[in-house]
Amino acid sequence: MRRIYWASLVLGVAACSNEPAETVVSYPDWSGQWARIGSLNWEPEGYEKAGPPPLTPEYQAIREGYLAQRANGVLAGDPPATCLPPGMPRVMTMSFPMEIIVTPKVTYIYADWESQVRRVYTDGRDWPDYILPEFNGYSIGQWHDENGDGAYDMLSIETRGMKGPRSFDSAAVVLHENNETVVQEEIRRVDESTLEDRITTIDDALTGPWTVNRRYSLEKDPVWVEYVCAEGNRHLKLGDEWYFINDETGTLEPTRPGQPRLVPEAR
Amino acid sequence: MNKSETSKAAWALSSMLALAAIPAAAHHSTAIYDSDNPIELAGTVVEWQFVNPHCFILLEVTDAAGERKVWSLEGGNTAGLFRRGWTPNTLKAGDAIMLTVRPLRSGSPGGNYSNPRWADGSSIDPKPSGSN
Repeated sequence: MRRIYWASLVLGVAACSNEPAETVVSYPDWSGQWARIGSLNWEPEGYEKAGPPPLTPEYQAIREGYLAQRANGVLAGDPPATCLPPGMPRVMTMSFPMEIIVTPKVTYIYADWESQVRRVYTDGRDWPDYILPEFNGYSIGQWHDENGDGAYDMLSIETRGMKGPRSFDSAAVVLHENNETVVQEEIRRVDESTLEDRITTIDDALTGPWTVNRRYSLEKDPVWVEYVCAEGNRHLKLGDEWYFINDETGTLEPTRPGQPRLVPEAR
Repeated sequence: MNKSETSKAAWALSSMLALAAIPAAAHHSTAIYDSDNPIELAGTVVEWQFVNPHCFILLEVTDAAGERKVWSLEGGNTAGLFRRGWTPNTLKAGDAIMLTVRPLRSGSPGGNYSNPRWADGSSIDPKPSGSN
């Protein structure tokens, strides 16, 4: 596999001075376009095959409430429908492809979905005293040499400090509103064309830690396409009501039977 | 048949193509659309909007009573469609097309489309799923 050697220049300089030579470290080359493998459900095999999500009774009841609303045309329990970012951990579903840029101090995970960027700090820092909550949270990573060949091949990540609302997927499986989620990941390449992210989510909406293995395939002929959700989004939430924006008539169309159509008063 | 020649749009209801109506992966739930009761719409393109999060076809349709309405019909995202050969120029105003539509549950003239075809029934998809 291709590797990236970051310290070779530093070593060359050190050889001409009295400074001690640094250890050469190599990082895996995870460049390219990685596309989702598996279901859009948080369980890559889908809930029909893998079984229902491990929700507490309280959050199972919340999910059932959302599903009942959906049967009546309400987009409940799916925050990205209004162009909110998916946040962690849902962004790692990669509804759209991702790109991973590895540097010694930070690894950037770029998701085409909402043009979201995760920064995974690998500079040895500790958790800050205060984390400003963000949808993707604050991530600290550590590189590992799993096979002992002297080269890094696995990145472990812990993410804290997320904000909501967030859901695991579009199947009305939401995270706890206290946003005390912790996400732990192990990213490694399982073969030349496949990357795996073993993701464990700890959240008070769950009966216990929930681990899934999301996989991504390396695209041979990658095409990148800009994604700006606000450009043409038609779904609008006003209070507890959902509407379908009709740009042509300047009205808000109802999404559920019996819901009034909203027409601007000036008309 | 020239795809722009159809002067009047036809209107037909059908549930026969329910399986074909399942759309490509969406970034959100499609709960507002009635997946159990898809319809067939034929009409004239008013505007083709190649935008995210979903591309839209504004389709003028004349119903059985002769009333004309413009439907707002949601499709895939630009990335997925572009990879399948679609561009902002794939459709233009005046094109006569047919779609399978999962309508809004509310009954308003909107929905989520799949299976786009020219008026002669041939697929509009430049590179249908499964092709390279």
